[in-house]
Amino acid sequence: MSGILTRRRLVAAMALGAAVALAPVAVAQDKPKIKLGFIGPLSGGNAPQGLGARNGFLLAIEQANAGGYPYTVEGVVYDDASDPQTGVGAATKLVNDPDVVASIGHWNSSVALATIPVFDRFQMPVIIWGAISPKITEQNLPMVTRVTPTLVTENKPLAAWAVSGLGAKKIAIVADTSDYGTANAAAFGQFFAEAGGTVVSTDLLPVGTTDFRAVLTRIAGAGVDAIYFGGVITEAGLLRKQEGELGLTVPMIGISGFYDPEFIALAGPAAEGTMVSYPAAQSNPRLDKLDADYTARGFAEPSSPYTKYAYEAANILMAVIRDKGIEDKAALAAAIRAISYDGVLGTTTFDDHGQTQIPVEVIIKIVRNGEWVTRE
Amino acid sequence: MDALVLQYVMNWLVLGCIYALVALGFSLLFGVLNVIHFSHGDVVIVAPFVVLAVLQGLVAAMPAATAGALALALAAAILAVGILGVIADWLVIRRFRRAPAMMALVATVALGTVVRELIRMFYPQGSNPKPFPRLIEAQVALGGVTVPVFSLLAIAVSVAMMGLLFAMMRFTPLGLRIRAVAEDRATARLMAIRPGRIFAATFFVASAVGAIGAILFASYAGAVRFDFGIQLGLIGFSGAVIGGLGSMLGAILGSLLIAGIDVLVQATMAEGASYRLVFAFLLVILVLVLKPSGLLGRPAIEKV
Repeated sequence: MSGILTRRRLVAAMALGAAVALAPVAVAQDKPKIKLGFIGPLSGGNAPQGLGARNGFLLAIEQANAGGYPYTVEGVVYDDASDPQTGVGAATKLVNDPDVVASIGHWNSSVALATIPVFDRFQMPVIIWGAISPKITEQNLPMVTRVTPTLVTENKPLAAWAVSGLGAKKIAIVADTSDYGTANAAAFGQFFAEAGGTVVSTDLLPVGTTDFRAVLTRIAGAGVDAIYFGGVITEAGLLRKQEGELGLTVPMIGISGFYDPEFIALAGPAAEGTMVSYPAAQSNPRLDKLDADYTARGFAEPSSPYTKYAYEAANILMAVIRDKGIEDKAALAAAIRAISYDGVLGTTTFDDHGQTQIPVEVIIKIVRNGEWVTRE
Repeated sequence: MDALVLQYVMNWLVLGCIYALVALGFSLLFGVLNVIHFSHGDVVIVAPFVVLAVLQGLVAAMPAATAGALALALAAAILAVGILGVIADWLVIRRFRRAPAMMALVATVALGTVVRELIRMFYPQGSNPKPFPRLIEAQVALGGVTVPVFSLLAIAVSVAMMGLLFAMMRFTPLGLRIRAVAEDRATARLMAIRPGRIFAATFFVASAVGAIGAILFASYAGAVRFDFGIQLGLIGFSGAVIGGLGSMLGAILGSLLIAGIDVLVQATMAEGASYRLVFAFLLVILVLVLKPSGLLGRPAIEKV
């Protein structure tokens, strides 16, 4: 017994000695260390969006660290799995880590709506990079800002285009029952009616639905010019696939929620002709550079449409931290709202609710030969 | 017949048949072992993943023989999941033979989570949905509408499996032994029937039949994801409960009822789609309140 103890003590002493010997090396970096948090869907049906965004976030941090940023920044990445409970768990971990100064988060609106009270209560600035429910910034929580346009700004031009450009008079709305889906169904329905079209039916199905045939059969019987889908990737893919199989050939349209290669993989050949509206990034050299850097960095996952938003959000955080330091979180949050930031998205400024004021120009993307291309 | 009505009916029959293949497993296992195997849905959803994996391997090895590869992949998946069911019993459920039924139930809930997360961890990109091929792409004209051959195939396969299962229970020595063990384990042992072997056989049969259901489910939906087993299992279990746990005919009836409500609610009610499962599970509650043994529960029919 005592022999073991002695040996343990010896090992401990050696470890201590090693630590002392190595210590000067460890503190050779004199820059203070901070952490930034990231939350997004890294698993589940929406993982492609989250993974691309995460890579954008990490890329921004790597570039800052390599480029003489006054702090050594470490990215802390958590998965919310598109699940509000998991998201709140991740947010709680971030706000309880004293080294985490600020965070960016969320692709799913339902998750963002669950976590922003946590961030606000614990005074941690958070920039939303992908969730687009209008409710997120309507609450005007001081800690919360968002760099993406809301689904209202995405649905309005889409509805107008559906009537004038696509020539759809009657449309069927299908969406999921989440905050995102219901908000989409309501927003698109309203704008489509205002533009002079008729909404024939609105069907909301729970996330995780795998069989849409009953709803689609009814829609086929009603005779519509197009189907609007206000949900996300997995369900969109299955819906489109089953549409084709029921002989329902009308176009399917939607906003950026299922603008993803995974949608095409799921729907297969049936994906052809699906159209989504997508906020056109003002083409600029910075965005081209991001694309090049992303490719050069060689991430395992391809970039997603949200890579640039997460990249921008991380850069905005680091810009205000450079100016205001890390102590006063309220000052940081105020500085984010006051910023005028030239980046990959163009010039980002925020309104009095923390919503980005970058003007939204929508372009229509269409699936042709198994790829998303811009519709001329 | 009205083309729309025909499509609804086809949809109902296909879903009902697929659910029934899963429900049969619940019913069979409950009848023989008095255990609710809550991980059944998660175990059987492994089958589509095995199909995809084997298919990819075979197509990579010899790109020409796709039809043969598919048949091989299907056989491998059904066999593998049958064995997986036996392993699940051997590793976990077996330990609770003498324990109150509640303990086995909780253990299988946990086992289901383990199986689900293992798929997610070990299948490449396991968190993402995987496109699952149609077993048959062709369509035929039937009563004025084009019906996918797959739907007819799904119904035919299901009915054939049900028939086979009934025949096995009724006419084979194994079926006789299973029924004997279900009736009275102790007396069956006195008749030189080894319950352990019968349990393993029951798990194999239940899981293999469920595997066929899961493959049809993935093929009908067009995709499979690691967590699809939860809902499939829940619906299959509900079908078995409505029909009466332990009754095979009841499991089929219950599954058809659930699928019927599902389709009917969506077809007729405005905003019905949001509440599709609400009505299905309301029926479960209703049956449990009014006739806890299920529609064709033990008092009415010999338990199998």
